[in-house]
Amino acid sequence: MSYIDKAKSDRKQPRTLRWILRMAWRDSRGKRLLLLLFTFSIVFGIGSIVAIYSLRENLQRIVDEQSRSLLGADAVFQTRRPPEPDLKAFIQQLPGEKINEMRFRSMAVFPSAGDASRFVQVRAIDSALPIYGEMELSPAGSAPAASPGSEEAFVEESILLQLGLQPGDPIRLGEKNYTIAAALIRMAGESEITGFFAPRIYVAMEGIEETGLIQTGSIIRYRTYVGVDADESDALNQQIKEESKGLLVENAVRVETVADRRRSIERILNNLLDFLNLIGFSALLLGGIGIIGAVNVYLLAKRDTIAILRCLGASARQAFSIYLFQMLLFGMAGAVAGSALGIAVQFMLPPLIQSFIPFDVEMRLSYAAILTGLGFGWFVVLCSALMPLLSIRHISPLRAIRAGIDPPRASSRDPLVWLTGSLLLLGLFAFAVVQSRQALFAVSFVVGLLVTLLLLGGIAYLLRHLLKRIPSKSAPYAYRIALSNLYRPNNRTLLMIVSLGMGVLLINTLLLTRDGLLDQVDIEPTDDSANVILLDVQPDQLDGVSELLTGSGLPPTDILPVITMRVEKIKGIPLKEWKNMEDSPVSNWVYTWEFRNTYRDHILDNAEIAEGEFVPQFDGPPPYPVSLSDNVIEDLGVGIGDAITWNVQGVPVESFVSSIRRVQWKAGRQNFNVVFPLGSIEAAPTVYAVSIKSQDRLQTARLQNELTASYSNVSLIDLSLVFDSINQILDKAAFVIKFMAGFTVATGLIVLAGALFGSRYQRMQESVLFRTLGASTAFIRTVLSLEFVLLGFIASLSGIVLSWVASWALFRFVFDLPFVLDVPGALILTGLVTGLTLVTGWLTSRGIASQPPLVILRKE
Amino acid sequence: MLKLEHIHKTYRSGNRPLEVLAGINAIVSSGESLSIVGPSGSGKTTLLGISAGLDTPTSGEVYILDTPLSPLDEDARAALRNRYIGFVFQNFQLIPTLTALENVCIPLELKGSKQPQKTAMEWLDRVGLADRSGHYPIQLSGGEQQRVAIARACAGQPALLFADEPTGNLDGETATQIENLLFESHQETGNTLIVVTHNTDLAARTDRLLRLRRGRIDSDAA
Repeated sequence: MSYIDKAKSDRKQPRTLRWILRMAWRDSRGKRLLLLLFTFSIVFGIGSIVAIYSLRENLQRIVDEQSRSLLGADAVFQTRRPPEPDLKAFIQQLPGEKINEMRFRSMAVFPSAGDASRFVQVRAIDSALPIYGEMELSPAGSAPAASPGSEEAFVEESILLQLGLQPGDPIRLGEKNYTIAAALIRMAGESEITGFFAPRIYVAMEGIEETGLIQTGSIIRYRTYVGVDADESDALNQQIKEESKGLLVENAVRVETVADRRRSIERILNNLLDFLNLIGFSALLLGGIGIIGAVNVYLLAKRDTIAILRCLGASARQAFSIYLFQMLLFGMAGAVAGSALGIAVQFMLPPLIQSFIPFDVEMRLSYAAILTGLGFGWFVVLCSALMPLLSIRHISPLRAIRAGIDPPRASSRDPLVWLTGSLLLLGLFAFAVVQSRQALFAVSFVVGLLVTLLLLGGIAYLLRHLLKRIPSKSAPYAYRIALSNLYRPNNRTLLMIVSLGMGVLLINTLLLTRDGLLDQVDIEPTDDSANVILLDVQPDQLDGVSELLTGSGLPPTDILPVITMRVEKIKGIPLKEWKNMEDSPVSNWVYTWEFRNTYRDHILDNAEIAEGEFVPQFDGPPPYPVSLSDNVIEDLGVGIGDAITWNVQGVPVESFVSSIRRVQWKAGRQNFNVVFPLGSIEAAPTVYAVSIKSQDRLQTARLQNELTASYSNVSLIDLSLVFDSINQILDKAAFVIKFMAGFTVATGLIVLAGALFGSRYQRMQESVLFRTLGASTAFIRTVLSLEFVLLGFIASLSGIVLSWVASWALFRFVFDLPFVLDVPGALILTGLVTGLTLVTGWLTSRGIASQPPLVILRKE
Repeated sequence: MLKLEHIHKTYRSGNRPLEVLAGINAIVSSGESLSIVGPSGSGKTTLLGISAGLDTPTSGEVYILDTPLSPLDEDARAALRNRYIGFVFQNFQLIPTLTALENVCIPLELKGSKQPQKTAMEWLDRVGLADRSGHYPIQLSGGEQQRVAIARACAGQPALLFADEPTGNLDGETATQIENLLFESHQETGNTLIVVTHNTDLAARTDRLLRLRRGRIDSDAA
């Protein structure tokens, strides 16, 4: 046996492994907190992924268990006109139980609350609902199904709470008086926000005509709920399918089955969860990038130790394994902490989203989610750490006798680094596919995230450069030093900026979107726009209503005729045929939609002609030239010159598209999708919509009471209340998103803390050098503070700039709304994030300014 | 024990080749002590690195215990260093996160010794630092650190001990103590000692002196 064979055989593998583990633990001394901080960069990412994964599983389980009660029936048929005899006959011959409902909006008056009135949704039913699930009432409690007596009403709980009413109090709908029998807490298949705009009131269908609210032009939805035995379910669905392109289209029936409802709920949930996942992923990816940077710097300080070990006989693989095990160990700690956080958060999420989902969420611990979090978290830590760790293989033992012999080799040239990076991306992609079950979504998800990070990095790079370029000779010395500190060797300035900037980007985009959407329904007191709209004013009531308004000091600002009609033919082809066509350009909603159109001789100032010519008056025979708003053009599949035949309450009316209007939809301005010219459809059955400008809510309430006393069928919509409702909904949605976006900010702060902690020694050396040269502690503190302020400022600004771009794109391409820069909001956010950075900086730099120089010089 | 055969080492400085060692031939016998001296830049440290298998020559061959190093891969050379070679460095090169005892244990643990701690403690005792075994390098003076480094280098009883400027960072009195320690252990273990030094007193204590000048052997005298 040669000497070398003997030397090799002496090294027994199990002992070596034990030694590696022991060395990994020993070598981490004094750096364990730092290593924990590195791997804790992924805690919030893992936490959110575990929480969302678990929530998804729980929601899916509940949807599976309660699929029938999500609709309250096996199928629901809905029309906007009383069902024709053939439709009635079809529904009648279907198997199972049938319950009819008429649904319309109206004003309700509450005499025991000083005749206060509210805009409500009336649901008149002819038997107990729901067929499946429960209607939760108070004080009656939950009931499998409930139906009010002929003089009774179940009233949404929110109204009773607002007006201080009790069961037993009276309520008036139109001309009929009811007694409140119970407060409606929840209806099977409906979420809390269902009653936000118009609270629900259930009454008996028997005697509903006595209210006087069923009039020409009233918008009433006629619904029939069908419930069958389990063995008849297939037969029911088959019959619906057979008529879906025949009788049901001819009658403009909207049918919803359990499967449809389930699909739509799943789609909503998936959209919400995918969006939240996006935030979780960005936190995880940021954490991963944080780990790459942190391990890189950590290893720079470990190169001498590695060279010594190599000199003493450790192989490159052994040296590499020591640090790999360190990362595995501390990475596991990060993954465990992340999973624990996820478990805690998963129980906090249901109350946040409860308002948006039509069932109670009872969370159960999801072991699959926890294992996934642990496994995936570990994978991310491992891959992220592996990229810098691979450089250990290139550290020469010669370094022990000749420092600087092996300057760090560029990782970009190492194929294994590329392989590991690709593996990490592939893992992220695979996880996104598993989560969203959509490959395309997953690709855009991962690519979008990377592009965002690159853009943020680019903006941050430019900003940092710009600051450096600004002539700073006259700037205070401390500022110049702080600025140059952003460029110190092995700095991770960009990493820190990108980590923080990502959080700012998410939060600011969210705030801008929320404010932009609210702006659409917000009417300033100084605004000329109307803030109250009266609906369903009958022709014979118009003069009286106008007089009442003028007498109340609220003259109408706009009176518009409204004529309800359906589309019968497009380009001469009946709608039924369009429905039967494959790849029909006509959107589904058009087949059953009851358009509320108008005629007028002008366009409003918040609309402009995008194409064609607006015809104000037309004296010839049909077809009439009509103007369409741009948002319905695509759904109808038409362009300029195309023919549309309308069914105006049984009478066909020919028209053609003469112009397309680009409309800035904004509350207070009554825009219509379709505008006929004067001289066309005036003879059709018409109701009127009247706009007024009220000074305050008190004046509106007074008018509401006077109006409902004389014109009970006329509904009054207070747009300021609509604004409140939308604000409330957006607030709830924004809170969930902000809660999750907070995870990204927290990750950014941990990455920042890790990076600052990692470079603490470097800053200590600089500080000692300054102190040795005579600088005061106050000067060093100023330099450090300025460095942190600059970091926070650049990060915030980068995030804000990109959030402006993102919000602009959202407004331009998704919401089709004008984008307005929010400079004060941006300043506040910049101040907050800069402050947080300063605090984090100080926490990680405690003692640096007061460190005695000798301690460091001795270390050197 | 160590044979150097036509050792050449050339670095590239930009586009220009820079020859650091230009055909070194030498044989060092078992148990011999040799000092390598010469002005800065003469190639002393490069020669030590190549002799110990830390670096590879551009051409030529190094034999340790009759084993040529050039066919060995990095892992095999590491195994060889662990089994047969010990190092003492100018900057002590103790691992800062390990105690004195743990530092001394490393080569023994890597080798798979049965009682590494016992052997390490014996060596710390020999260098007079048994009571400082639990101290970290930063808690020891320069001389103490170098004594720990000598204990670490000798604990594995290597056949070859390389010392690179072992007294270069120490004051006169401490340097003498370290020299004594180095030669005592050399005599006790009978290993081959190769010292790179500027210190003429230290060089004078070795059996043989190899003087380098511009990458060549200027003189080789006993």
